[in-house]
Amino acid sequence: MANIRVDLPYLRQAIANLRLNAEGHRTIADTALQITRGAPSYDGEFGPRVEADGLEIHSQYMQRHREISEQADHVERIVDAFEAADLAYRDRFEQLLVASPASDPRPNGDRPWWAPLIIGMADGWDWYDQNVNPVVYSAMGAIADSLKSIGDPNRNPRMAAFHRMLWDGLESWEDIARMYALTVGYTAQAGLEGRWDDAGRGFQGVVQEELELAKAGVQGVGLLIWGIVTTPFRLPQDIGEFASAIDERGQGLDRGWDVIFTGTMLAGDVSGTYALARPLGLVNRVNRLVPQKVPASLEPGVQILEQTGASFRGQNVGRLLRSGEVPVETVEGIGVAGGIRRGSGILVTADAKYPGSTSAALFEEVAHTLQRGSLGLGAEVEAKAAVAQWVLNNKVEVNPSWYLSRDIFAFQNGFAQGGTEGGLAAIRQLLISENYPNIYNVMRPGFLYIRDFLTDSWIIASGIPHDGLQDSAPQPTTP
Amino acid sequence: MPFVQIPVRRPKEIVPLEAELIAAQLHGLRERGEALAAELASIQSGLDQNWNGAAKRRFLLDFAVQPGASAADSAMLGEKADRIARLQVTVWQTVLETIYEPG
Repeated sequence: MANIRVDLPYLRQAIANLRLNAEGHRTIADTALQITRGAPSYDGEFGPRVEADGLEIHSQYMQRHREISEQADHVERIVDAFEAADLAYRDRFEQLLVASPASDPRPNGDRPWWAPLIIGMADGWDWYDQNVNPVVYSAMGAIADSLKSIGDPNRNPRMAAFHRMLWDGLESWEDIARMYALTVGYTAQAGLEGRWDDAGRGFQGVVQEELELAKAGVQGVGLLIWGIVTTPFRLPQDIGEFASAIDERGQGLDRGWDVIFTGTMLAGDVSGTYALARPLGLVNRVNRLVPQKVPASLEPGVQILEQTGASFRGQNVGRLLRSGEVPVETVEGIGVAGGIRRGSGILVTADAKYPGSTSAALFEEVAHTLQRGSLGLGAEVEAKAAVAQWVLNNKVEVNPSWYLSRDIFAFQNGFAQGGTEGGLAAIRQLLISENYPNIYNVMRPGFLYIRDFLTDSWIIASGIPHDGLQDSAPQPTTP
Repeated sequence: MPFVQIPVRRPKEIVPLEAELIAAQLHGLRERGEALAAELASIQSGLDQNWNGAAKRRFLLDFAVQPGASAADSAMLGEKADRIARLQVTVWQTVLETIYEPG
């Protein structure tokens, strides 16, 4: 049985010690510089060599200082998360003592009125422990692992900060959830064995922890587990849904899961609320949005894809999309006509059909047509990444529309990682978070603009007008 | 008188006086570094004993390298100090040499 113990004052002290230790490393780094700087030259045979050694020592110790400081911050975030849960618990404690069934008086030796609930809970617990817990922990591990590669604070401060928030939130939630699960298991076992005093204490603990979790924000999970206690008959339906939502992710079948990984939403939903309930809600919401086949409203976009010869695994994209044969998670792999593919990303070349344009920019237009719902989302992300790549490569100053600028920012964040899977995930998160919530009925066609410095104007470099060419750069759009 | 003395410049390898001082100061830093590394090991051990759970497990997975890394930094510092203490430079000295000078 796992043992979870968090001594917050001790951890606070450890954090302070870590910070002192980090400062000690920095002091050594600085002192080494002072000692070695200004050594006499001896015709270059002594001074420069000593100074070089000093620089090396300084660099090494500063690196250690940064890493230890970062790890102190890490522990502090975990402690903060636990303290928040503690506070939530204390707020409710007095009420619980009065309200919980375990405080009811009952004759010695009699089965308490709530015994059937405990027995029901025992059945539910077995099922839950065998079917839900493994996928919960596995899913949380998958989330964290998939984001672990993008946390370089030097190259990517924004993504690193986001990554840390997520990671620490997940860890804290996992510990709390495990505690809760253990209490449920303990109570259920006590009920099975007729140890009613123990079961009563456990039951009370379950209620307390349930409210602690609920206060902390894990309402979805908490309510489902609360369902084990109060209405065992709901088990197959409620927990089944819960388990399958997570299990889909585990099996790679959850087609809307990508949308969970959105910067703003996830930072708020996950780290601020100990992780899982709202993302689960998002999954369900997004899954409902995912069309099985291309709706009629997307037809124009599909036609454009066909015209440009876009293909996926050698097959016409339009046909695949219409038939629903391309799962949404692979749409991002769709080839760009005239482009050069590299791995899962896209490199851009000029498209002869559209002078001054890039096929990726064209593709972006198509993606905008497709963007309603998740079906086109992957394509849009890839296309914008490609546009951003082109803009960066050509050192083009882009239009002031914050949509495109943010895309490029997102690209820089993501592909600074070298086009890795983590980098692509970073792009996806940022683009979706920046664009997706407000994009409907707001986003104009995604023209690519080039600044004409001679006339101080903007030239549309590419794009297919949806409602006529614009002769000036768009102003930032307020959703 | 066939022998005369003339001044001649000769190279000489020496360890600069400053080398010893700098090396000593760096060794002082090394000792402080070793103390910090030991302190990190102590912090790690304390966390291991006083904290349980997934968060701790994952944290220590990353943190476990730090005591060793810090100790390695100290060792590196000591090696640099030793190297500096042995650094030799070339200085030129004028010495009188006796040579034979035929009448």
